[in-house]
Amino acid sequence: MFARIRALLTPFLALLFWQALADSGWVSAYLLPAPLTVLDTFFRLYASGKLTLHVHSSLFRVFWGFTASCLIAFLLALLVCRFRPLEELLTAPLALLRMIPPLAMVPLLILWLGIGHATQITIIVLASFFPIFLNSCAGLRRVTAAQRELANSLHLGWRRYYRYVLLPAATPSIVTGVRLAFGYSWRALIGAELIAASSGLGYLIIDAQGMQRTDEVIVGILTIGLIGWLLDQLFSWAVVRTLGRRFAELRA
Amino acid sequence: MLILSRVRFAFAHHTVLHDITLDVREDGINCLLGASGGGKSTLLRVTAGLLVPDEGTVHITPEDCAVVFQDPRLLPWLTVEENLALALPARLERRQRDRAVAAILEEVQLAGLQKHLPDELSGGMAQRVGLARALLRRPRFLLMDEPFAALDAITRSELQQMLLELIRRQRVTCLFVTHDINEALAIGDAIFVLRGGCVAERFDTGDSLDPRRLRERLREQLLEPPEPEKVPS
Ligand SMILES: Nc1ncnc2c1ncn2[C@@H]1O[C@H](COP(=O)(O)OP(=O)(O)OP(=O)(O)O)[C@@H](O)[C@H]1O
Ligand SMILES: [Mg+2]
Repeated sequence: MFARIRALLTPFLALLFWQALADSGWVSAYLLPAPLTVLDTFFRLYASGKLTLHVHSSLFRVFWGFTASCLIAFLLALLVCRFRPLEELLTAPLALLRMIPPLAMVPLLILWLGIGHATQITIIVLASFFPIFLNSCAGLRRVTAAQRELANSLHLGWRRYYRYVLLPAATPSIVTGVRLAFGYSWRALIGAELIAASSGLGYLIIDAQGMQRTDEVIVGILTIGLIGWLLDQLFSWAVVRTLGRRFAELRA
Repeated sequence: MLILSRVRFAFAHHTVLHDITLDVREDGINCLLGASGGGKSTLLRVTAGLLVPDEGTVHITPEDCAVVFQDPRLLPWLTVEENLALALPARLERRQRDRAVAAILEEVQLAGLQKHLPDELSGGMAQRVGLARALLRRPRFLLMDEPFAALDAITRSELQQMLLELIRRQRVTCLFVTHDINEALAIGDAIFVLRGGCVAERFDTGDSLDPRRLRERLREQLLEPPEPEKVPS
């Protein structure tokens, strides 16, 4: 309980400081609107339906992009771990691709896919592929020699081996990758929306900037942080709830 | 009953088993005594079909064997029940499976622990689950690699008694690796001494040799340095 309160203390103090700074008149309201103004703007944007629209747009992209990315990365990891030659073939291209920030691909993607959902979803896939892929690969190698020997001595078929040995051994690592990847993809999405979109929270910010509405910009920024944080918490909670008993590693 | 003949096994260029012929007492406990690093685990693995010998023949099929390893080797993410179920045929009906699991847990005196995770068991309990898993396969041959070595003396003698009873009831042939002479004398029907990669001697506890003399003989056998390897010219 006290820990909760202490955790909220810093944001609360920051808010107070921000309000005091805005009230003092040292900075213009255009550069730094007061928290209460921002709150007001938030409700106005929400009431007009504009905020919901953009949030919905961003969440839609992140949901599909992230789902696609999880599937692609995991299946590829399974293949690569199953067929070693494939790993050798893919090492160089993947190493190169890993060093390219997804946002650098935006100009090409606009050219190929326009500025709709397809571009944004591709950006999300690019941003979240590697953490999932690399962590899945690492996880799939975590079956110990002793566990493999046990599986042999029980004469487990490959189906039961995958289901009860290989995949569970990989699970903590995969979960870590997925959580990391979510953060990456959320941030990359907003970045892409700033450059190439006609909806979404990133677009809301850049649009507000064009209209010189600093308060709306701040509402957009805070909404991005809040939603990202909430989704991350939700994910951790769900993981602990479903896997925490079996996997001590995931409990912390 | 002959289970191994003229088996040779080497890791890379290090020959661990030179020439093993093993003729065990059927439906009894056959203890395999030997010094640490002498190749007892390797011999067990070859017998279980987990390692393939370089030469010689294994006369039993891996499907007839169940192994109890030195550590319990329970999968930490599966409950006791799920760990045990892995030893049963994959296509077993759920009800039959639950019944088999409950029955075997009763036998090893762990009734009601189906839903526990391995982390929640003591060392002795975990080792009993390991034993139960091996027995669930209804093996003809039960191969045990120092299964009780990590346990305290009281738990160990309890488990030895339990094993004796189970084996008497199930009619399996047991190959029991240990480096503890007292353990071998307590449970063995036959005792084999592994030394220098060969079976140096076999004792049957039914023999007229009195136990104290036998213990002395075994101790001598184990302490005696192995004969130097004969280099073929
Ligand atoms: N996987 C392996 N690769 C290479 N050498 C091995 C391997 N496993 C065992 N050895 C070697 O084989 C020899 C016999 O090992 P083994 O485990 O069979 O002995 P052990 O009699 O079971 O000993 P302990 O009583 O300590 O368990 C040892 O010298 C060991 O170094
Ligand atoms: Mg050993």
